[in-house]
Amino acid sequence: MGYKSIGKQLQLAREQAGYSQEQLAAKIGCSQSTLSNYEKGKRRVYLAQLALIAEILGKPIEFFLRSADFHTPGQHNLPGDKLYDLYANDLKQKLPVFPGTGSAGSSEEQNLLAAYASLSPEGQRLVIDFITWLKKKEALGNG
Amino acid sequence: MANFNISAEQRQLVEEVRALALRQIAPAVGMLDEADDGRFNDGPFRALAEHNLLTPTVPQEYGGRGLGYFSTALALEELGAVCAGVATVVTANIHAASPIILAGSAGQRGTYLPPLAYAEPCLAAFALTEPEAGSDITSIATTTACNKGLWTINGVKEFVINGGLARFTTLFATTDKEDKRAGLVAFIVPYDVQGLKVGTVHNKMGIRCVRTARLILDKVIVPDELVIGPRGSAYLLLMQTFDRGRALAGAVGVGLARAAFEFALQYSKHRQQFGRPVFAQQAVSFVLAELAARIESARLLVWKACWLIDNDLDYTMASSMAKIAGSQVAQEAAAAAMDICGGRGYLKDLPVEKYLRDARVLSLIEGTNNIQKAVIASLL
Ligand SMILES: Cc1cc2nc3c(=O)[nH]c(=O)nc-3n(C[C@H](O)[C@H](O)[C@H](O)COP(=O)(O)OP(=O)(O)OC[C@H]3O[C@@H](n4cnc5c(N)ncnc54)[C@H](O)[C@@H]3O)c2cc1C
Repeated sequence: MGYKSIGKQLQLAREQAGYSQEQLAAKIGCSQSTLSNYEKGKRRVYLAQLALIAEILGKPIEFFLRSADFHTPGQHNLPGDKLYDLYANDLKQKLPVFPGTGSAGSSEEQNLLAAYASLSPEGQRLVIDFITWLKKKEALGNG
Repeated sequence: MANFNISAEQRQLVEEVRALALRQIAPAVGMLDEADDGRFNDGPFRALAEHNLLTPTVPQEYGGRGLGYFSTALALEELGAVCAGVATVVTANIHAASPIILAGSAGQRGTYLPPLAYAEPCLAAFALTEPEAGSDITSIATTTACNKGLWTINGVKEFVINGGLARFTTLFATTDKEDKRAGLVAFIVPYDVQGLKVGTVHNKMGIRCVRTARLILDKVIVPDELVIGPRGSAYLLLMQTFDRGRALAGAVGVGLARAAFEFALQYSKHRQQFGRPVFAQQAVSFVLAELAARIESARLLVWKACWLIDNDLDYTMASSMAKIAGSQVAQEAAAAAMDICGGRGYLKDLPVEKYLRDARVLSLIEGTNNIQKAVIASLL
């Protein structure tokens, strides 16, 4: 009934953010078995709880409601995780231009890249997630 | 949970609703049932509104009674025992208000909840089903797109209780049919918005006092402020609304079953055949005994589901079970009552044939009983 797919996305987001089930469960105030059941789709996650999880994991709610193989209009052949890789690789390719060889981009872009490079791997992952989400949103054209 | 006492306040509520239903609704039930579905009689809803019982879940801060689901179920059992149609209108109002209570903005709550608690009856509607999308809710074809903060909605909604009478309709549309869950958007659509038309008013077998109509949305435009809940949350909001509402549909079924059972019991004790009441035949009394047990078990399932809802615990499965149990026992009790009343049960002179017609809808609305079984199976 849709909740298996929501659970899979939840697990993906949790793992991307580097949390164990115990850690995330403690943060959202439920037991590890409840979170495990959410991830297996054996228990329905209600909106207030998912909104909290989304906030902690830094994802928009849509992320959890889309199955991994959802295609955005501009990226018809790319499953969700491939899309993630695409943007990740794109950003990684840009990274070598830093620090300041002056070979590419405006100073604003370079500052952004510098800030990105200074983040922990988990933080970098969140930035990529956010860009992926923004890209999808813009592709959908719904403001 | 292992406490089956209802509080003094809840007992008082039951007495209030029972008295109101018997005095102000029961005398009109026959007339309401005879009326053509197109002609709507708001008499019972006036009585309910005067007691602030038309949408009893509206929080007190918005003028409502702020009843929890357990208390609401108690009230709905009483209403269901007098007229399942009237009780169904109350559940429709609760359904329409539910997404706003769960996730509405302060502005939405402040604007749309208080009228539901006015002494003048205010009806609301919940529009999800479409001609081509019933059980499969993610296949809805009513589309919506946003441009500069204005959402345009186009489509057709089917079977909308209170359709054309409601002050507002809670309505679901999609931004992208492929984006099945994340593409859903929940709206509040005010009654006077341009492009909202009322189509066919359906002629039904039972719950005939309930206006059920098709709604046509032709370039309806609503502002961003009328989108309910955070972006992408409509699917969860919808599911949660169903998960809560189903327990209440079960309560209506329990009420109807109780009424059919009580009628059949009295009839069987008065009707003499072979020199004694037909109740003296085990073939009759065992049917009633079994019904008494089934009604009680359905009631307990309804109570459990509502208790879980009120305590913000996992209520999905219990609610689906309550809905199955309540709707099934209503149909069983109505059918058994007709048998026990013999040929007279088939005539319009007795209320039994109405019970049977009304009960039939309960396994179809709020998701068919097959869908309830699919929900339960998915959680096993
Ligand atoms: C009087 C009345 C009032 C209503 N009020 C409202 C309202 O206010 N708002 C609203 O939005 N809707 C309303 N409905 C619509 C109601 O919710 C739908 O009729 C119901 O969800 C079933 O959809 P359907 O009629 O399209 O049946 P279908 O979905 O076409 O189902 C046909 C049959 O197939 C079975 N079936 C379908 N899919 C599955 C599956 N996956 N597994 C097992 N069996 C399956 C069903 O159980 C059913 O027996 C109302 C309906 C009625 C009759």
